[in-house]
Amino acid sequence: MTRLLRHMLVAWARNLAANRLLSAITILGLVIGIAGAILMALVARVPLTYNHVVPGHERTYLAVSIVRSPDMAPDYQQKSPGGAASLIEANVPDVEAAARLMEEEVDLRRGGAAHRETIYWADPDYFDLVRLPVVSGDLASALRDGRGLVMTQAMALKHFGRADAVGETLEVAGQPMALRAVIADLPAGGTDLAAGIFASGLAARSGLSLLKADGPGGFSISVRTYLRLRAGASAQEAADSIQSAVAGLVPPFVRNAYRLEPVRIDQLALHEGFHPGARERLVIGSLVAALVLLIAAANFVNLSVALAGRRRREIGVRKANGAGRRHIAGQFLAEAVLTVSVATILALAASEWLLPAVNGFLETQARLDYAADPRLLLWLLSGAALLGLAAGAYPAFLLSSLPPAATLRDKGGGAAGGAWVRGALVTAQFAILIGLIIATSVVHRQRVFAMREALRMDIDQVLTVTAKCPPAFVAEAAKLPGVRAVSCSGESLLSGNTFLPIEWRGRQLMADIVPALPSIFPLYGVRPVAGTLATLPPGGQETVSRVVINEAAVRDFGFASPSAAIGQMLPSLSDEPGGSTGAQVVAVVPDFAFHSIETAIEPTLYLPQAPGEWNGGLVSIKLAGRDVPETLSRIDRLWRATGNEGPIQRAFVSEHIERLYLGLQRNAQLFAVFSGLAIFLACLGLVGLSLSAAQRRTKEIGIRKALGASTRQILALLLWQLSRPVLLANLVAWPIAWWLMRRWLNGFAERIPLPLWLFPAAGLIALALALLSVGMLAYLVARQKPVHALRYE
Amino acid sequence: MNQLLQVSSLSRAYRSGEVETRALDSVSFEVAAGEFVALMGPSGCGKSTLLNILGFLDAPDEGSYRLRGEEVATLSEARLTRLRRAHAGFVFQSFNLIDELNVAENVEVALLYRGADARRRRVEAVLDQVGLAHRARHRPRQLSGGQQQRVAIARALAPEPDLLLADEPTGNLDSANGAAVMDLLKSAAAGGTTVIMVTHSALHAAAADRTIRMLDGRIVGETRL
Repeated sequence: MTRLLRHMLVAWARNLAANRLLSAITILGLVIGIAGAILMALVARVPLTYNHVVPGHERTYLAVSIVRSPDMAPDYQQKSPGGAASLIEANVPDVEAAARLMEEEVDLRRGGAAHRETIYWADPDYFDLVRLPVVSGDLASALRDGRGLVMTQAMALKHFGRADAVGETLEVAGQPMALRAVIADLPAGGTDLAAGIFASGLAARSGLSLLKADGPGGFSISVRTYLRLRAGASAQEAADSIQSAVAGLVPPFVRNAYRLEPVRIDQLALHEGFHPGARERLVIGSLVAALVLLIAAANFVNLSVALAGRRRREIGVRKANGAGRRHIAGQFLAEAVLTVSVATILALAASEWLLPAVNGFLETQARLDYAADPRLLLWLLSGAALLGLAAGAYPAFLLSSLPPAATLRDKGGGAAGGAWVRGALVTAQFAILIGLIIATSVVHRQRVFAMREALRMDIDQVLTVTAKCPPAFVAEAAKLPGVRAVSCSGESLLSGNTFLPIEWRGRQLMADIVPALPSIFPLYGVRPVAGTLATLPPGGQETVSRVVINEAAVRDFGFASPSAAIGQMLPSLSDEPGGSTGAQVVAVVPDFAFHSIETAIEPTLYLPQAPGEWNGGLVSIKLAGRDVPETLSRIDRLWRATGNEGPIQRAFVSEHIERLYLGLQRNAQLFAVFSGLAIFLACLGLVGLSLSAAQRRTKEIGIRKALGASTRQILALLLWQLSRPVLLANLVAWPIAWWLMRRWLNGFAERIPLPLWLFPAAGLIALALALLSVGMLAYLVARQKPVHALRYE
Repeated sequence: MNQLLQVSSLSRAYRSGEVETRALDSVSFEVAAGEFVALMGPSGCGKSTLLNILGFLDAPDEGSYRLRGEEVATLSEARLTRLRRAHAGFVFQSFNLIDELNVAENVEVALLYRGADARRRRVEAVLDQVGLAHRARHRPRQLSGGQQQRVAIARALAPEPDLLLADEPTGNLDSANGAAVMDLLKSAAAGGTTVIMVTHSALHAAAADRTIRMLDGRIVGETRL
């Protein structure tokens, strides 16, 4: 048996060496495909194992705050009211325990050294609920008095110079506290905890001790509330009970909109509310990586069969000498597993090398640490063996079933058979490739649409400064060289986070409210579609009596048209006593928004309110676009010169928009990267197949040429035969791509129409790539003198 | 006489699309154990097809093939594989050595699937028998045609088969190498191995105990020395 294995190993190694080019093409393709899959699996593993460091994570929940308003995207916060934990623990039977964390940046002092550090003030029983792995000390009792402190190993090392520092003291926010336990370092990006220091919430100066109940009408969410549900308890039922339990904390004006909902801590990373699009990206990324791996595996199968065609004689000899089907199949399966294993080892090395770049690109913290996670290596090697068996199964079946008499009769390296399967695999590869080209293009076009046309405003060279319209700064900024215009608005222009319920003709409507000076519209190139801005006071009004609305508001309020809305009176736009008694619509502007077009543009009321009335503000500055660095320096100097406190907080609006569409951009880049890989792999496979076919068909080409065929005719014949599966691939790819991309686009409230010309264009690109990759080879084969070709055998 | 093979009304046809070629048409003959039989006839007369069936590489469409009295014409592929392993050795016109293996490894292939013991010694012995022990580590392409065919004979003899089937073993060789190969086959037959050889050469056929002549898939004559 050992001798037989050694024999197989020798045959495998020498065959690889004898067919160096084709073997290299096969292994390179596999390395790329497997490396892509490994990287994607590592990236996917982070959110899929999120908070798994917490024992019992399946029953551990974080109470999150959700503010839902009609027609608006819900607002999610991981914080909750300070008083919720005790109320829930006391009144919700499904909840076994509740404990809070409160994040705060505090001063830490030890000896002469001082650090500013973010810490958590934790309830005494926090670690009963979240039992993080302890390294030293008694974690359970660590926070039971007001002096207790728990740190991760890294934090202990940072502040005490050694990880094993239990008993050491440290001044936290001016009060001495003692390190009672050291816990293992938290996996980077693998938990919802951002800080590595936990101080007892019982300390006199702890944020939790100082937390005051909200005053009448006030409502604040400032702590992280963790809950452990009883075994077998339903999260949905617990969620309903939680609403009743905390109802008393929520003031009436937000009670309908606010909900405190338990979210399992291991599901936070892929929660749509906190990480919009993360799940979709994970699914898309995994799917695309799997497709690329499929292309690589198809290459492997095709090239294995093509290569094995040259080993027909060997198979015949082995069979004539007593080898059964089992032996031959076993040999080729073992060879496939060996080849895939070699490719996997190379892919692992490539993954390690590429992982930092991938982490940087996707902003993930995926790790490839065999020592810390030996199971990972086992998984990867098992995966390689499975892939080898799956990819080797068809060639092994095909080759082991070759009749020995026929293989021994053959002189040349004829194909091993299974031509239709190989054709189908090439078709499938190119179908995936065409699909990816279409997807890349659609995602890119939607992104460009989102960042340009869908904005319906001109954000080019517009800078915002976070400030409530300081008069001196605004007046002087307008005079600076390189500045075209300056205007002011409330912060909600960008954030869209201020909304107001409005009673309108018996209906409750919810509208976004943006206080803004009238000059904000021309600054962003927004022109009214009806009415005029001229009647609005340039400096705003103390009591708003006129209002500008957008087209979405026209529809929501039920006006027949923008023109019909002009002159209409809207009800009071303030919930404060003594606020406005109503406002007349003087202009309607197009729907423009600074938020993602994944959700529809909200009905919005632009109030020409005087800046003194705003909660927060933004100064928008339109630059001329020349000498931008100098202009920015002048603005910074002016900020200080006009007596403003603190450093200037400025950003270009385009940066804000880019941040909004970061997810979309990532999808576009992900598709582009994997499409590139797919193109490379598919072309590589095609080159390999044509190399093999060229060698196999040398005699045929010689005969054709001897019978009068020209180089051009032979070239056309070869290219046509190679193009056929690519053309056929369009028929497979188009309907699937059309259906998938339509589904994807439907996720956007505003979207591009799916351009039909993209489909034939993608097909043409794939064909051009295929022809380019095999054209030169086909030309060289077609040019051969017939005498060489006929002498081949 | 102790009969090794009994072939009766053996037929085999190949189909390619709608065209049927009858390679063997009701062939019957017997071969005694230790006999050296030459098969002669023009190209396409069915010699190689017959040899493949006799060596369990192929199965007939009709007729009977008995090996030591046991019917083997209708056996499954797995049973045929076991019969090959137990009884047959092959020598081909084009040598059919595996390019990626060296001479010793090529010979060893014949022992690998038979689970034979002391393979290395047996390989050395047969290579010595064919006069190529000094070439054991060479690759086939480093040998002359005659040497390659001697390696093929060594491979066929290595498992000590009852039946040695040689398909034009001298077809690709010059006369000197051809004579050397014939000596090896004669010595195998003298050692008790049944040898059936397809040949176009009357000179080489004359070395056999009996010559069977074929035409168009039928036996048309037989000469016994």
